[in-house]
Amino acid sequence: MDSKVYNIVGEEFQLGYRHQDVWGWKIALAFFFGEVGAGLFFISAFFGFLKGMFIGWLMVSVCKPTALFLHLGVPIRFWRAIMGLKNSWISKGLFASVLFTGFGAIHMLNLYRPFLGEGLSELVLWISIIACFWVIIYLGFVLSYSPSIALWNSGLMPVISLTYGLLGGITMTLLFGHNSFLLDMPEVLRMLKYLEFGLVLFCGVILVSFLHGAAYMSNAGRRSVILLLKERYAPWFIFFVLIVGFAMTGVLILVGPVSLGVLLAVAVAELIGDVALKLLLFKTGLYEPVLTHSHF
Amino acid sequence: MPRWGMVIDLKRCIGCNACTVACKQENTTPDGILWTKVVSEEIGIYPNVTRAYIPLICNHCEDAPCERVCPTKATYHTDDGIVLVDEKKCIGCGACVTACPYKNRIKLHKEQLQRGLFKIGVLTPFEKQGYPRFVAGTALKCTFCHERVANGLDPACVVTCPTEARVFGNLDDPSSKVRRLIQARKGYQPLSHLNTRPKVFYVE
Repeated sequence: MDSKVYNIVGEEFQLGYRHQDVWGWKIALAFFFGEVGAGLFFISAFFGFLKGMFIGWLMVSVCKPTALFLHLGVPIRFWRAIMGLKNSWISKGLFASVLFTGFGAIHMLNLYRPFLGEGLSELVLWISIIACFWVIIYLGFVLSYSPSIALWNSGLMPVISLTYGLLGGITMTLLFGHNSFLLDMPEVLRMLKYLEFGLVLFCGVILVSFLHGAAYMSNAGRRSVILLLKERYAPWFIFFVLIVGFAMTGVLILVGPVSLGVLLAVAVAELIGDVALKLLLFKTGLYEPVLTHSHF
Repeated sequence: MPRWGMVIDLKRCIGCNACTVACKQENTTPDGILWTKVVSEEIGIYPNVTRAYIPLICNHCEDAPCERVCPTKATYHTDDGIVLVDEKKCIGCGACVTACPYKNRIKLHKEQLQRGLFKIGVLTPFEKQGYPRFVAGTALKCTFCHERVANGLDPACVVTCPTEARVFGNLDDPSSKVRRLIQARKGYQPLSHLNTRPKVFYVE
């Protein structure tokens, strides 16, 4: 690592860190819908909760593509994104999303009005669950795969995706299921509450590890972490991700009563924290100066 | 088959940006799009201070992250090692833009093609003849002037450089000027620790 301190520069002709600016709120929303929707389907499928599965499926199969279409430069050619299956995580994710949309829909239809035999319905369930799991984690791989932005280039990124996906899934399952299937299963309700609290704690630990790793991996990573924790984006990160996303969600789920109001507040707090983190990860992604080791 | 590469002599660059202008002229790149440019860096503390100029260009990496992440295979390597974008396949997802560690990829927006270089919404004849090759919403990058190279010419930025700070040639030919420069003056690659194996080398 070079000892010289460089500034963050814009489009001016100076050497320094540069912000990534091509991925913004649309991609952040797509990631959010993909992770939370797949997480909701995953958790709901475990309990056979059709309403939750359907909402999760809608988020992955309708909301996420909508956000992606808004982002794409030439959306009419979107189908081409499946061509790079060998290398590109976007292609792998798209493949999983298509599988999930198809098999998830068949599974839900079969649950609503059974028309498949036992073996076939098991197969459809497992394909949709595997595709769903893939949809949750691939987004992390999309970010971690490239070496250009030190903050993202972390093996913890897929774990963050998985944790937030499951956390969102449990939150939404509690919200939509507390006055339906969870009424008959108070022990499951209690378990989901504790699981959510545990995931909030785990998410906190992962996030600390992630930031710690980024800060000591490269100068650009350190600069991004400083932006998040001390400089321009610190107020947003501290308030929305840490206070609202972690503290408020954790406290409310642990001590709050099981009521629509409290569960709604938990869901809003958790999802705000999730979206805020994704937006901030995009905002604070920095490129290293091209010749950091120049001496002249 | 040659393996084209470039050597940039930082001692020779005077920061005139003639290469930047030559590239724009050769490729008719729209407003706000620069495939090459010269950035500066101030070194030292007053009164012992100097300014260095660093020309930047796509490195046409052997293991190009932009090619690896492309979901449509729109980014590809030619046989002679030049990394190009097939604008008919690109969907404008921006994955290559985020993946290039050198930030040498740009996504072209519709407005950039419409507003023109004078930003008045009227295109000059020069722009009118050049813009049809671009597709709004797709990713753009330096092509190493591959049409010129295919005809035995050097890229426009190389030809224009008044101090001959840029040298273009076959990296596989031991007698080529690029190879000799790299060997004699310990040429190094930008951000080499990322293992993208750039084909642009710098010498000091």
